[in-house]
Amino acid sequence: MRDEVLADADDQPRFCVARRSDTNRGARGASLAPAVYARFWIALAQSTGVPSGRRYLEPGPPLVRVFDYRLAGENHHHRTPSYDSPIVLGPLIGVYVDRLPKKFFLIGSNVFRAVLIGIIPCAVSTDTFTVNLLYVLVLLDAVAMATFSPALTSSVPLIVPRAQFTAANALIQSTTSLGIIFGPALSGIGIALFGSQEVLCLNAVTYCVAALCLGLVRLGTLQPSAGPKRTDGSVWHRSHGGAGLRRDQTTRHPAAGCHRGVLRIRRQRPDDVVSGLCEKAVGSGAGRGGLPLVRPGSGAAAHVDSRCCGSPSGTCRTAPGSSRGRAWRARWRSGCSSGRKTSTWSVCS
Amino acid sequence: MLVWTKDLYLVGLLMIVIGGGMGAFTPIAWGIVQELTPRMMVGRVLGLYSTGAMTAAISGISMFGQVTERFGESTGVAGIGATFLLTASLGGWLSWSIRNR
Repeated sequence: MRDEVLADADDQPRFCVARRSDTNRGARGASLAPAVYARFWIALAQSTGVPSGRRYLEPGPPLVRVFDYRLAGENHHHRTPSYDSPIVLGPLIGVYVDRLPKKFFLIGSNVFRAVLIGIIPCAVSTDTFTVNLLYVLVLLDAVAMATFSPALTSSVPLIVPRAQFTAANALIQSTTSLGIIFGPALSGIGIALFGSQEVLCLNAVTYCVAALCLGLVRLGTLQPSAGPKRTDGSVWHRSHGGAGLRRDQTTRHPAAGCHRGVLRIRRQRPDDVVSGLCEKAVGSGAGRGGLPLVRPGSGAAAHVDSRCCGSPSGTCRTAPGSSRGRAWRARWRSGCSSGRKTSTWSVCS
Repeated sequence: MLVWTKDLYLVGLLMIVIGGGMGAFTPIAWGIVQELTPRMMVGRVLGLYSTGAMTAAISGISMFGQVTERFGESTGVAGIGATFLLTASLGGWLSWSIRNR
């Protein structure tokens, strides 16, 4: 039982990477070493919470049983919330991990767990600690864990180049395992020296440190995957995040030489669309085409690269948006200023 | 081999090999998911992956626990080996399909 408790994969430690600001994608293989060391120590410290939590609950044998089974995932009498939460909430959390900034989930889940694991056990005395309260704590902790895990794994492509995905994942798993192995030993020493509550509070501190370290991580930009390449209008694009794009209409304005197109968004919501205008100020001044674009920062479709104007004097305007919106606005402008006559819309994953 | 052998050293060696294989599976699977999935859908796919993994873990714990209790340890270990074999077959097929895509 003890080994099973300590080998539980649910207690995934936090990922702490302090990257140099000057590292570039594809050229930072060696810079992972300090991140690995940092994460190892974080994992090591955080694993100290496992036996200390168990010790903390020792006055009531059922509590110990529940806590152990929560870690082992084998509680037949009390269905483990640590397993239920990822099962039930996994797909839903994945959607929001894609749509919202990943750092929000990475940092937020750590802070939440710090509050949950650290402050509440420190504030609640052992006399008033009940199984129901423990169950709620474990459930909330599992929700935080279920949020953190996909956010961490999906952040790997934003940190390392494609050739190092497996190596980075292996480092995550390795440091987790090392923390699981050595953490309890340190925890035992800490409990013997200071007491279980103090070690639990230390565990909360490590969560805070992990959140701080995650705040220093600079995630890269989205890069195309190695998956099948599809063209616009395909099923993949239509089903893409519930907001598929297709090149619905392309016309060439006779007077201005400006390509106009309409990118329609299926299942549009009012906040999914930012109107974009491509204006060609040549000749008669006509040539103004509406370009409904994907909501910036929605995560459903990252960039819309539209080069739509036929002369250097052409300008493009879009509604204000998020930083991602600013990014594709910049690309849009650069495309217009280059004077290309082609009209190209593409969804960059 | 675990079903038939009684040698503790061989069992230990086999357990190390099994542990190595299990440890290598997750990073490789994650890497494949990260590489093949469109970038803005990685979170969803990994969320589903976690859901599937947790469901399979609970199912496996329950099923093989009952199999072991009812039919004995050898049958349980043999069933686990068969599951590993099925996993290896699916992994080989996936690797082949990726290579010939």
